[in-house]
Amino acid sequence: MKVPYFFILALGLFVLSSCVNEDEGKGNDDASETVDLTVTFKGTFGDDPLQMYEGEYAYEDNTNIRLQLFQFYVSNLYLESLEKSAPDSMPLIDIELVSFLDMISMEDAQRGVEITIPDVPVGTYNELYMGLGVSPDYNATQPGDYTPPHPLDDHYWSWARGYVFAKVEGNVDYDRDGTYDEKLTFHLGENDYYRTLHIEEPIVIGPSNTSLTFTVDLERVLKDGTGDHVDFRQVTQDHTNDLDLVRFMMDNLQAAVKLEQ
Amino acid sequence: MRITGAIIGVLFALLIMVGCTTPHQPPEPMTLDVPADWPPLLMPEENPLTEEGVALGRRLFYDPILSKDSTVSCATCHQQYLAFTDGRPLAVGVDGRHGRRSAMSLANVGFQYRGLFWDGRVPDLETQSLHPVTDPNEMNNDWSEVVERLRQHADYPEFFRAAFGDQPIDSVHVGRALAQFERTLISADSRYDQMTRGEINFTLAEQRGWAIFFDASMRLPHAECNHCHVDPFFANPQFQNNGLAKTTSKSGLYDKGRGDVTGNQYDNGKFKVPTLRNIALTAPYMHDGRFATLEEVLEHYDQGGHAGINVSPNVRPLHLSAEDKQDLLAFLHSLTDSTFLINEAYRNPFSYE
Repeated sequence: MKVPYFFILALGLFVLSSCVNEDEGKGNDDASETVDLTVTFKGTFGDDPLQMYEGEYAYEDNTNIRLQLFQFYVSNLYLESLEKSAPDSMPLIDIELVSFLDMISMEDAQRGVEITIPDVPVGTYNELYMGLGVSPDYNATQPGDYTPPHPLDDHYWSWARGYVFAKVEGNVDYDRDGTYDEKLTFHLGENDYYRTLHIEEPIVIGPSNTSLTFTVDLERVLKDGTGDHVDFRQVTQDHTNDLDLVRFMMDNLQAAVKLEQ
Repeated sequence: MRITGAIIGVLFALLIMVGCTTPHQPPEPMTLDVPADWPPLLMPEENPLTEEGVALGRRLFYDPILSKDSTVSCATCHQQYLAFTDGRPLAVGVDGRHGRRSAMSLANVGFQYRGLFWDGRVPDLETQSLHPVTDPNEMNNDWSEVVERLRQHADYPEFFRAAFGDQPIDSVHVGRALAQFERTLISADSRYDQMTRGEINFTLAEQRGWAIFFDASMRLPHAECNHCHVDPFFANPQFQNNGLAKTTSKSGLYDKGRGDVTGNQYDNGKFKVPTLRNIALTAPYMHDGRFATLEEVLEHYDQGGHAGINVSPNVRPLHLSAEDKQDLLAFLHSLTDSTFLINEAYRNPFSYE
């Protein structure tokens, strides 16, 4: 059977036109408008803003803790969109160290750690991905590969050939008598414990929506949802030696990061 | 006759002009041999490393002309054979005056950032090198006097011209020249470096000390050193309170260190983490030289230091055995770079003249 020539031509034009329409809708016209986006990480301990030194937090087993450092790496944070109003994929953070080291006053703690990302196309995005820790590609590098200051110029274990993904450092008061009895240092890393956060919900970026705020609950890092927790009477330190503990804390970190809308 | 005179006059004038405008030879760029796995040397665009700049900086470094009574040079407190320290608890300046802190080693100082000096009060080497000149406890001079001496000197105007062209002799260019020389002070040939390059093997004691230092083995105690003393520089850009002071008050310290710079009470008692390269040669130790020996330093850390609200949680009782301490010492001695101590490029240039 011979197919009529005009039918083939019409089919071709249809296919071509549908392809063109889709391309036009993904980030050309609409994405030409951009805003500077502020990505903020606000530390908390439960419902309280997380303050280094100043904050005293009730913990399990009738203990109190004070923090001196809480930090973690964020890798490959990006948005995705199925909508025509935004690009398919919008990278926001390649690698960054989120450190609450200087969050000492209540004002600092409430403000959080702010990272400004210029020229983000406006639109509605549907999904967000964020790596917690140093992504395997970057974890194969070393501080000597970077000109300081750079997020990856420090926090590296040369003997283990990898970065310290997260640090929690502070002190514990075992009986709430005001005397801090033991020091706490937890340094977590290794590729197996790199975690990815996937959030699926509409995220609107526009002239009146120029911020993306995450809360990070340190209490949730130390406790899972079932009541299991890091028992400071049993362990006050780990340098990624107890892998069950590392898995527990990195899994918890994944659950502790929430997008505020 | 008048015409001939005029021609001669013009030619003479041209000759003088040509003489005056002899083009200045641009300084020769200098490159340094930095180990491949080290970060790049930090160098501001306006002060690139040149042969002439480094040579000038070296002369200035060793020349007491910078001090009020011409008795103290940078090298007084930074002596090559002591890895550019002075062996004293506190630095000593003109008239025998004591500073309030010890002289820091200059090994690999060009790689440091986030503040120089024990309290990190200056951002870069160009600025740092200016401070001792006017510090009453160091050189106790003023810049107008220094600049006048250099301008009137028989040699320095030519050296400055070679390094910086027609730019003026002033404090800025003194600082730049000193910074250039200091950037060349690279220590990268210790036994530790040779081991990492695969050229030698560590002794058993060094190997065990290495593992204790880096917390690298679950079968050995952890000395927690590597949290702050990060290779390759065995330092890091942080400021830490390592529990030296007995006081737990945030304001009761004699020397507030970083806190004096930031005004943040939680920085009181924090000091820059110094390099451990050549540490066996840089006694006495700590910002105030309170420990005479490395054994005393290890004892301090083994005890866990004094308590304090901002004492680093990484400073904690270690429970090291005598053997652990001996092996740690063996490892620390492996950071001594003898080629650095005798490198002719760093030596006093006046001793050859």
